[in-house]
Amino acid sequence: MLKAAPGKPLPQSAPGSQTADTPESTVRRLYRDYAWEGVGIEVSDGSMTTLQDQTLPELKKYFDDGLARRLRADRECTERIHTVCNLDHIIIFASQDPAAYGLTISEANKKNQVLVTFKYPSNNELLRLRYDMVKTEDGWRIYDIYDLNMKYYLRAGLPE
Amino acid sequence: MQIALKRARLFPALSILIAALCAPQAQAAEPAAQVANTPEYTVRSVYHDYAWQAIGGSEAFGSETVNLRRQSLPELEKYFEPGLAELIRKASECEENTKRACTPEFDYIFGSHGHSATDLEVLRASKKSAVQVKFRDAVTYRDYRLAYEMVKTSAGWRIGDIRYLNRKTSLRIHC
Repeated sequence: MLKAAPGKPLPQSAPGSQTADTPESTVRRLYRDYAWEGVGIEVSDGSMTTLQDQTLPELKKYFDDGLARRLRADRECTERIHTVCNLDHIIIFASQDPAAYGLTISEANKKNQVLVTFKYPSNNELLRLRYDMVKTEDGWRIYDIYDLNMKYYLRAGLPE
Repeated sequence: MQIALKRARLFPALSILIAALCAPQAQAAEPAAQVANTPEYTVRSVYHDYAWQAIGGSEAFGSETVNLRRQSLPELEKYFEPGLAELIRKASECEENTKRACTPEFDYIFGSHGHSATDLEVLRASKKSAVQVKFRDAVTYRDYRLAYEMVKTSAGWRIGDIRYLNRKTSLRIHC
């Protein structure tokens, strides 16, 4: 969006109205706002901030307080010690070299779960992520992400 | 067409580390005010905001997420110069009224029908008012190249036309 005055980095929420507050709408908003990370746009000029580089308030638009704080702490750790602390991949694309096509976002078996699937272009592997959602006073937020392919819980990999 | 395999998923993340450590330095190297007031910034903005069209499209994002083709005039004018924004809006209204395509059916900023793009690059062209975009279709591995012709307006740099080099046509020709 270019409402921003010259010199201001791109806002992180892309245009498009969001009316319903459902577990799926939060996940849809997350992928809508950060899909650009999945098509490979370069970020070296500082005009875009990746999800995992975001501030705590921005992270809390999608994640519950606990997970948002863990994500922020991990990135601060990386910046402090100049090496990977815990997260070594882009969490919403389950890859360190994100790319995706054929994205689907749908209800999972339980009401508070959302299933995201997409294919990874270089090998056409179908990746499946289950989002465990929690209702907060600000709306539905992501409590955890479970990588069904790698059997990996995001929250468990991030210390409190 | 064969393409090189990307690094394995969940492999030790050099790219993550590099991004985390280098982004602030890059920002400092080129002041944000200069970055924002460039033709590339506007083009990068439209891909930043509408990249979702290339990974899932409306099927994944539902009707509440409006694609660029159907956007309001004020939203279009954030990226396109007023004349082209008006043409795009009129084409959208034509499609709503006639229930048929009034402009090319391919995605305006990807120049393709498929919802798949990877390795997207926004490049400064030799001519100051031109920006090149290239990307690879993630399914067909076909390379796409688009040439953006930019116009300096009172609101900043805006898109005057998009030439689809693979198709030898342009957005303005069809609107």
